[in-house]
Amino acid sequence: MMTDIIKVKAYALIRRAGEVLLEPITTAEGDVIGYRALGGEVEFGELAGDAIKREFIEELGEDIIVGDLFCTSEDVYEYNGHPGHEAAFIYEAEFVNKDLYDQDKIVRVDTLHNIPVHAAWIDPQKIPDNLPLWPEDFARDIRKK
Amino acid sequence: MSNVYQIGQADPIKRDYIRVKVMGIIRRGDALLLEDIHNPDGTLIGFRPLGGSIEFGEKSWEALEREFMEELGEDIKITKLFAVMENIFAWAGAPGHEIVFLYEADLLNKGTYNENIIERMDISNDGQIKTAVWRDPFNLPDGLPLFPNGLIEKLKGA
Repeated sequence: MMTDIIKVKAYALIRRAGEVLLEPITTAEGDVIGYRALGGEVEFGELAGDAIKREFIEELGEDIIVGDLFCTSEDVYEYNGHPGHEAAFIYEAEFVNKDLYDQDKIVRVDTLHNIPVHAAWIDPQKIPDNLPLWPEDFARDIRKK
Repeated sequence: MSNVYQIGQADPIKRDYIRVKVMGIIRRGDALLLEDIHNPDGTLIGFRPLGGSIEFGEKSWEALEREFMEELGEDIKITKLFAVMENIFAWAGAPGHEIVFLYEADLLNKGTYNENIIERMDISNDGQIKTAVWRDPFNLPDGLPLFPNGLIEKLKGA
């Protein structure tokens, strides 16, 4: 069963001073209920660093330079009543287009899936404890470092 | 006797997903506890630390403790995460892709460190005999490689 396979994910940690680029998760009314790092699923035969570059082109239309591994994360969760399990790589990365560091919000359309993608520079220390930040081990390490 | 690498027997329908594995680096002086890897025709092709696949819903460290208990009947204490490796390779003519969490760990039963060859009944594999041997990873028999690929470089850096 496909649901019983551990998914391998890759996310980028892009920094601007004390802030990092995150995707706010919102309700239909626009209330922020959490944040997640930007990235996506690693395909069979693909390195995690290459997956992040591909995802940023698909989702934001932006090229990034992938740096060092920041951390890995193992997340076992339930989403809409379905069990989920991810193993994730989180890499330090930089935008090639430096103008993006001057924009407070980056809003694009994911051309592959035709869905909007919102990203914002957020200070992880200022995210309230009751709002989740995904992946979990990334949330722990980014608040610590 | 022969510990055939599981991926060689993988269900071909399920082959095209990334396997998530965990292995334990157990040290005795300069040696690591390693098992033999044979290809499907039985030829010895290299060595690797012991471990196995992480099950859905299971954390990597839980999987490592379970694997050592199933394969060797040994309790371990995990001391730290050594590396997480991405390994894309060809195996028996088919592509393979695995993620390997590698932990440093100690055997809780100190008497096991005095056994040069550790042979146990592998309860997860029809009671086949599992053999683990202390070997110097930089001086393996017949110049055979250490798996997973890239681990030897990480050990040099450690």
